[in-house]
Amino acid sequence: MPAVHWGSSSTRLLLQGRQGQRRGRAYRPAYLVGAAVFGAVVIAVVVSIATGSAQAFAHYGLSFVWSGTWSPTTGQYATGILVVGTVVTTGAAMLLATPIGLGAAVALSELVPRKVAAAASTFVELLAAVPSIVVGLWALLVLSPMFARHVEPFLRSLPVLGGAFSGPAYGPSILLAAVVLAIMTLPTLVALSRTALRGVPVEDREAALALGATRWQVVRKVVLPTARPGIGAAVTLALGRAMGEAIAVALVIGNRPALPHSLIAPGATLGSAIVNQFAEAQPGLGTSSVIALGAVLLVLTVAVNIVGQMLRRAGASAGPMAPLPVGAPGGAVLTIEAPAQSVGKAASSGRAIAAPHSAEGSLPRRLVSGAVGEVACVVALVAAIAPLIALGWYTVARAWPALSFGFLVHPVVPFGVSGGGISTAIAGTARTVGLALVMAAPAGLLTALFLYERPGRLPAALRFSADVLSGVPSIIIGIFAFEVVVRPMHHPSTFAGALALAVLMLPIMVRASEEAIRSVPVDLQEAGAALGAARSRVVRSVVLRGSLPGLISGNLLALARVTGETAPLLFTLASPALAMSLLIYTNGTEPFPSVQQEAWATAFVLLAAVLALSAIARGAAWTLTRRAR
Amino acid sequence: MKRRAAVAALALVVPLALGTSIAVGQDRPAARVADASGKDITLDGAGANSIEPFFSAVFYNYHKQYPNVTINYSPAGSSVGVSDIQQDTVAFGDSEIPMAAKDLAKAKGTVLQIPVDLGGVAISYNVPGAPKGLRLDGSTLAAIYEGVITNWDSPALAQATGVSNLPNLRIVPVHRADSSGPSWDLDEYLIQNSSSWVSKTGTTDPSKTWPLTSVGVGEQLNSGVATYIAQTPGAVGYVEYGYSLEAGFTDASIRNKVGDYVAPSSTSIDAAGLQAAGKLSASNFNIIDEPGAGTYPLANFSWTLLYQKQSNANTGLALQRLFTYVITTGQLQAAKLGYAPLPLSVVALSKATLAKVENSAGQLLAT
Amino acid sequence: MTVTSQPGAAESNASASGPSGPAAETVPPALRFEEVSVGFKNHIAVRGVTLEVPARQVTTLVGPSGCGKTTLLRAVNRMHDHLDGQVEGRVLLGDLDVYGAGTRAELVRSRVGMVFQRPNPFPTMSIFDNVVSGLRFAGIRKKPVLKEAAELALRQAALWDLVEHRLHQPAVRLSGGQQQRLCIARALAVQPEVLLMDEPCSALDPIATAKVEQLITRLAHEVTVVLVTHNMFQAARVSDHVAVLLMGEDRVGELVEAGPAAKVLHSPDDPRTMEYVSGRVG
Repeated sequence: MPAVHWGSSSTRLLLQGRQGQRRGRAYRPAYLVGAAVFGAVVIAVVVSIATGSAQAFAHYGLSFVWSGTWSPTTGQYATGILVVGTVVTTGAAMLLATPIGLGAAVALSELVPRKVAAAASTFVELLAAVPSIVVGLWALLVLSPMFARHVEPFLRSLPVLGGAFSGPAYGPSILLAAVVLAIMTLPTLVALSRTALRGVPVEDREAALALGATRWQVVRKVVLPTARPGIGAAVTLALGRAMGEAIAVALVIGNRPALPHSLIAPGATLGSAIVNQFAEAQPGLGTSSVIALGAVLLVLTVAVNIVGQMLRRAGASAGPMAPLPVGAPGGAVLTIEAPAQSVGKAASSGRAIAAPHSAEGSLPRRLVSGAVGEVACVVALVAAIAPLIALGWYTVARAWPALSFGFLVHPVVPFGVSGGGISTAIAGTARTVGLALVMAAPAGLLTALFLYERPGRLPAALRFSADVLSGVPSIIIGIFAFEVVVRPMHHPSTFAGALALAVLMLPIMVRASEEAIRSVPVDLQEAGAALGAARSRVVRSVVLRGSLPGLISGNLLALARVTGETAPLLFTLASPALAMSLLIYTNGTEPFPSVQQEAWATAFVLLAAVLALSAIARGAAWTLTRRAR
Repeated sequence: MKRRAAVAALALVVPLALGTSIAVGQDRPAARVADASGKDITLDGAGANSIEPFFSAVFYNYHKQYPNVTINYSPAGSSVGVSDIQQDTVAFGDSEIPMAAKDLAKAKGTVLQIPVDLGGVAISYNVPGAPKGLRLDGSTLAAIYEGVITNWDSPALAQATGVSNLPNLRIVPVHRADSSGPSWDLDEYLIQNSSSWVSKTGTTDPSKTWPLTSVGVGEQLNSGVATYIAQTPGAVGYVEYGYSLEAGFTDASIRNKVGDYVAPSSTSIDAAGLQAAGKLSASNFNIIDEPGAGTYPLANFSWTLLYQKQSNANTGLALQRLFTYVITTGQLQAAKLGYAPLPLSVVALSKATLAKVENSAGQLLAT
Repeated sequence: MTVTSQPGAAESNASASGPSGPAAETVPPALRFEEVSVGFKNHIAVRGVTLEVPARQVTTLVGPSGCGKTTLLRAVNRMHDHLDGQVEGRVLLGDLDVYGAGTRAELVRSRVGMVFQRPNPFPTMSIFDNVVSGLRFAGIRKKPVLKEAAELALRQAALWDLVEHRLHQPAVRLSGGQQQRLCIARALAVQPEVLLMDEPCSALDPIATAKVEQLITRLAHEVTVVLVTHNMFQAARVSDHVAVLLMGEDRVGELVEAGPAAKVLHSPDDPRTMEYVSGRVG
């Protein structure tokens, strides 16, 4: 792999001589190997899930996919019902999240003052890094009782809508799961939608303004329609993420594998069933059936993600509309008409329209409806952020009494033993994540270089599969690591957990690195090449150095993303004491106040670590870019 | 330019270094206190989840006493414990339900199955104003879990419990969403005591996965069920007695074989163990609904699995010593965590089984 | 731009200004700038402009890039509002004080059309929807009214025959020149008093440019046109009146001279205008 050089003079680097040239010869093979590794990972994930589920499909046939029989002892998990549960739950989540997310994005992009918007946008992007286990736990302990006591009885009592909310108010329900998924996906949804809205050219907005449109009309009639593909992509990608969320859903959905008759009834999804059934499945057919649930989930999410990525690409290319080149069909045949007599006549009758008059007459109504719309958007922005702020506040309030230096440096001890801490879990998380970084970073960078260097279909396919892979549910990656490491080695291990995290990181790294590399101006490279430097040297001293801030921030963001992951570690680490996220999962659900408090203190530490990583990533990118200029 | 490079390098290297250094720190040799064998040894185990609190406490204390012995127990589930032992990839396994003949046939030798802890399943409820020890029999409990009795003030419940002033509150039955020993225990009890349960579930084979999921709420692990009960007025659910004890739950008195209503306690669970002690074996492990006054009907042993023939004599000896500790000194901790101490006759059975451990030459390893 | 095209265009210019010339004497100005300065956060772009724009004629703002012509133009329909621009002085649209207390920007803009440098039809709308978008913004929903207005505006923009049978195709399928004429039609559909054109031909090829220029001179029968261009040929071809903006010593744009096109372009009073005009023309 080409080492990154940190010399003070690029000329010296460029002309370093023979040794450098010899090393340069390894450049092409290196990125080819990197791309091969990446391709192999993608194939391995698919193959492992396919082979793992083969026994179930061989035994039950394809009807396994729409089966309604729930009989875990025989390996029948009512896949059809779980698919319906998944679709209903995530569909409800998107029905909730889309208007709120879109409103919030409109508020951020069009309405609030620019300085506030910048800060709020950064905040929203940071919120996207909040580990889902923390959200799930908070929902279990805070939202669930609230739903049982207030929300569900209220919805049930509504006149017409109440029909969709019939039955006993348990708390855990499809509705609660949908709300949790909405809260979790909102930051991503808002950030992506805002990007799409910002992408609408200023010329289009000004055209509408100049025609007398109110700010709200500009949003409704021009900005939103133009950004529709991007927004569609944002919603679809959020849907993909919601479909794959397993642990948080299992905590709050009530786990009832039955066709839902009411939104406040308990339900089950493919993900929640995998979490519940994987560990204790009957070896052989039972395990294979659970993996088959994973296969179905994989197909669903990949399909959704493919649609999302295609929309995203459509949205990106739609962008500012370039006029067709002259000579395009219909472009060159110009017939200059004489000012027809009818014009004058039409003009006089046209005066009767009295557009300005009408504009004046309708203005108060337009301003009022605009104000209503704008207030709704700001409310949506608050609604998108408020739950996560409440969650943060709750975490701090519950963690505070348990936080101490000793808590950080003492090892995890069993329940009932006093004086414990979470040092083993912190170390475990650092070790697993660190190992994952070591595994993923080189392959990620080399694959990005491959995508950068090579034109054609193969890189395009790899790029697309990276985008799709980044939407594969983390629990499926967990099953993958279980199949390729834990099963053959017969024991869970840090390596297995790290492999899962590395696979999760890889696509993010590839795409972020490629974007960073592409941001280096081509003329700089040409300047390097003009000095007679070899391609490998140009890449090392110009491209890689120029893209360094982006590379670092991309890798750190990937790191932040996986640091809070729980699902992939569930089946791969030997003990919950070996990762903070697992410890939160096991301790947080305990009914004992002292243990819960420790879980929240752990959540606080994890949250701080993840937010710090994301903040450093953004900060590093920002300062380095600024200094480079 | 240099500073920029340094910052960048730091940003990339720090998390790594942190990981590695801590990883190294993990393996630091603990202060040596010689075990009888004196050598460093690591014992890997895997199996049941519900015994994890007990194991982790006992293993923690054992390691404190004998730092040269490190025990890693992975609570991945009973089936994992069984399959890992079959493939000989762990030093010991653990299962709520001992291996049946067909499971044993897949193993790579004779597997010793040793009862190591005695636990009970409490039926806990959160009903404001209700008395402790509400009397429930099999058919009433089944009716609750079938969704037939839906309110705490229903006449059927008043008649069964003998308590007529229960509040007007919806019953929320909670069951385990994952596969578990407690589900098996309660299912078995209901199969034995309610014909309607058998007809509703359509089988007389007890299942570790709760069979009737269309009623009430499913929660993960003992902890999930316990947390839900704690925060939901009207909830009733089954948890390891240890959880109920620690959480201060109100437990129902369950009708046993001889018609007694018995609340869970170390004594009443112990009584179940005692009833079974004489005839207990790996193939006759079921102690649900044992006869005898004062016997709690929802009790079970947890079974540790290990190979009789140990190719590494040191490992064999270490295992022998560890589990001798677990079934003797360790039982003191059992009571604290809400498990019942093993009855002496069962300890004797466990000891006798442990004594069968051999080296590769087929010679007994002396404890 | 080919030199050969100049005489013809000049002819059409003369014929355009001929009949409308006398009218300008009697009709009050459509637009009046009184000591108008426009500034942004940390600099002033244009300062102290006082100018009368005669109704139903083409008034062209010329000057080197950066002299504030576009900025001044955008001050007319308050396009600086959303960019934190500060406008001082008075802009009078008829007798409406554009920046007066209680004057809504939306109302000003519904009386002023604008055409931008690059054609910017709404990419998600059909040709028809683009043309009537201003009317729809104003709350007009009646289909017959919209249809009539669309035909009128498209005829005025000399586009009707071309698009009559594909009104519901996406606007972006048109060529660049056609798109720009569509934008002109869109601006005309709301029956504005003043049409602002900000270098409308800068993104077009010579043929399309010629078409648009022809349009401009013809439109002046119906509407007051204020055109910004840096192209002196164009100014000569289409203008009735010319206002020259130049940069002062402190790099702030100022109005140097304004008057009938022939006078300003051929025998200006101000030496700076002479220098600029002759430098460009000669």
